[in-house]
Amino acid sequence: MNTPGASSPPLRSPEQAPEDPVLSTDVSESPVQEDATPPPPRGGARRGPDAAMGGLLGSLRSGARPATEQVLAFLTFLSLGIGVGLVLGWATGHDPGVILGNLFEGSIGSSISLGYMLTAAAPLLLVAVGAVICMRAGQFNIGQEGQVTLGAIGAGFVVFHVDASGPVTIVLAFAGAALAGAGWALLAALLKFGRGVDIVVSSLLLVFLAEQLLTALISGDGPLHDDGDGVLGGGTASQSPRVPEKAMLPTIHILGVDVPLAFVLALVAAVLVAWFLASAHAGYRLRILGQNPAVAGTIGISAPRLGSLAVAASGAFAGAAGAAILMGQSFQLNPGVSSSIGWSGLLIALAARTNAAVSVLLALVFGAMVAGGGLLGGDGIPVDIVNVITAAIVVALLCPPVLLAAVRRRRIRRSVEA
Amino acid sequence: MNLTTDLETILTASVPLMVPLLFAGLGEYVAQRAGTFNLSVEGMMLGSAFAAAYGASASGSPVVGLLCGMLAGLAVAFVHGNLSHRLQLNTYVVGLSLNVLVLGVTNYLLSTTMLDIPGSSAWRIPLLSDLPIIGKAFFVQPWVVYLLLPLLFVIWWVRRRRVGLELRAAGDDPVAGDLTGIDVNARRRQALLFCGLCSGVGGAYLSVFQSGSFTSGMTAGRGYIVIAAVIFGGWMLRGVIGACAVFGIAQGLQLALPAIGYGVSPQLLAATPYLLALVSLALLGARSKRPLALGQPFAPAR
Repeated sequence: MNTPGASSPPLRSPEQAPEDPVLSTDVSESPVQEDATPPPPRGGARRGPDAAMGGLLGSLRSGARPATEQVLAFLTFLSLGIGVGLVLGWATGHDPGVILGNLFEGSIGSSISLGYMLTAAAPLLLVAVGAVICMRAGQFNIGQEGQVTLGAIGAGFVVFHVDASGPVTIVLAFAGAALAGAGWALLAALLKFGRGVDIVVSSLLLVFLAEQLLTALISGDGPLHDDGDGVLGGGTASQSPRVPEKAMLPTIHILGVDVPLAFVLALVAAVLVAWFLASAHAGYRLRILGQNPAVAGTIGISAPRLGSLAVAASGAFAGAAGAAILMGQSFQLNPGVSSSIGWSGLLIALAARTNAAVSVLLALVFGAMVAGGGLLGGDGIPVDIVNVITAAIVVALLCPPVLLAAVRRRRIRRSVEA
Repeated sequence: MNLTTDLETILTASVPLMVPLLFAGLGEYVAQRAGTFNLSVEGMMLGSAFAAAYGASASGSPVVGLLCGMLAGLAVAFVHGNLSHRLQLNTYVVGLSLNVLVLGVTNYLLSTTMLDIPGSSAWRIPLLSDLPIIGKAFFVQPWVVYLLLPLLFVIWWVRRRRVGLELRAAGDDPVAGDLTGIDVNARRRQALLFCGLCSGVGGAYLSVFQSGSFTSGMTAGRGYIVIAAVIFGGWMLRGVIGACAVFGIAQGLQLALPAIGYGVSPQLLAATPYLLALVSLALLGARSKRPLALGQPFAPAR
């Protein structure tokens, strides 16, 4: 993965030479690069950013270990993360038992709370599934928060400006949201493959542009601004009208629980993506690109094309999450409509070490925190403790492979010394 | 309304907004030159803003507040440095989770504490503060602001010393640095600690010296503006200073323009830092002075 010379120009198969003038502009062939002095042929500089990113992502992937050991490590570190949050609660004079009890009660305590939990988990899972795709392709897109915002904008344009029946509106809104999210993500991909800009940086900066774009659209003369025919605060506040009832996402009654449509969609997406990455030919090529860009180049995988596609796909999923938020949770566009769901979804995918199945589990845990957090206020416990718990979970879940590697190193050193 | 008073209004509104950006920006500049893309600068600023507010209100002294703020910044940097440059956890994930963690912790603690922050008076520099246009903006400020001068001098001086070169080696070519005997990860942790210290001053300035209160999530994305400033500044010291000044003015204009009587989209002004950073990246492309190993983990092979 970190072989020197990984960034040498990839061999190209003839069929993929000039297709898309923008996307196929290889960084190493752009005229800008030719004027510039070549990078010094030493050490770290020799490795291309892709190879290094592969290494960076490799550090997230778990090594080959027995399944039971992995499950045990996962559960241990999950509890460790929750424990950190409970210790904070205990230190400030709240009973950890009460906190845990509320979190369980509010998430899986009744069929109604189950519905809340699934509603909260749906957009998180959609974002995480998208993030899994681009991370597996070695594209470190961290701009999901902005892509969610764009998705909400796209869905908003359909919901508030297209006159159609309920189901048609919902389908069109999801399509518009996915398009908007994918387009926003593609901007970052274009900057990367066209201009050699680090995708971490460009996707991050685009998050804050998306925020301002949304605010501009829903305030003053913006096309999504609530002019006063909405329910509340029409006229001056920066917000859109309420989503009409026909465009609110329905629920499906399964085993006594009202399962929100968005969660069903997200679950289907997770299963499809897991299958795609594990078994489909294109998924296999995507993984090669992520794990070893040099090999990908030699066997004729175009990094700009496949990489951009992966980034666009992740943006589309994040956009769909934006639609799910607008039509299933917030029912209105306001400046903070994405409410950090993009960040959380990204962290879920990374804490799950880019595994779609684990992402489902973690999205449910995070959803449980959101739903259960709602009950904490009743006992006088600030709801923000769930943010502490989720962040601690993420950091804790990153630890197992690192600690394992450290143990392995020590074992090797001992056997050498012995 | 004439030009002089308008300029004075704009500058007086902008300078206090530049100050936290400058403190954190100088720290972030050092961290990024050492090769660590520090996303947790937002968390550092927010955590230190709260700690400073808490320290100042508990002790009744702004100085204690400032020290608490610096400690909090150091604490976040310590956690980040050890997780990502000792345990080699992914630095972006660590940074983002730390931001969430700090936001959660400060909100949680805010709802369980009452803050009563003592006021601190501004220093009026004799003679200079009587200058037209710039006098009031630059020379009537809380004393913390003038810490920028020694800080700038330290960074400028260290750049040419061995430590500075080693830091840059850790950012540009960790492999070669490692071969010449530099402990790359230690240098990166130290750079992060320095960034934590500077962001701590910036955060303390925000809560104790500028607004005299702490509100939930009060940094409001300033950490990300700082990152944009380092990028727009082209990873050069004078560039970063200039970028912080420009972004501070962009924020100040949001306050000052309505007062003067101009209507400019506040969203456009708020988006300026990110737009400028993106455009400069797109124009410069691969020619930028970005540290070559920025954001890449380094594990010495032995």
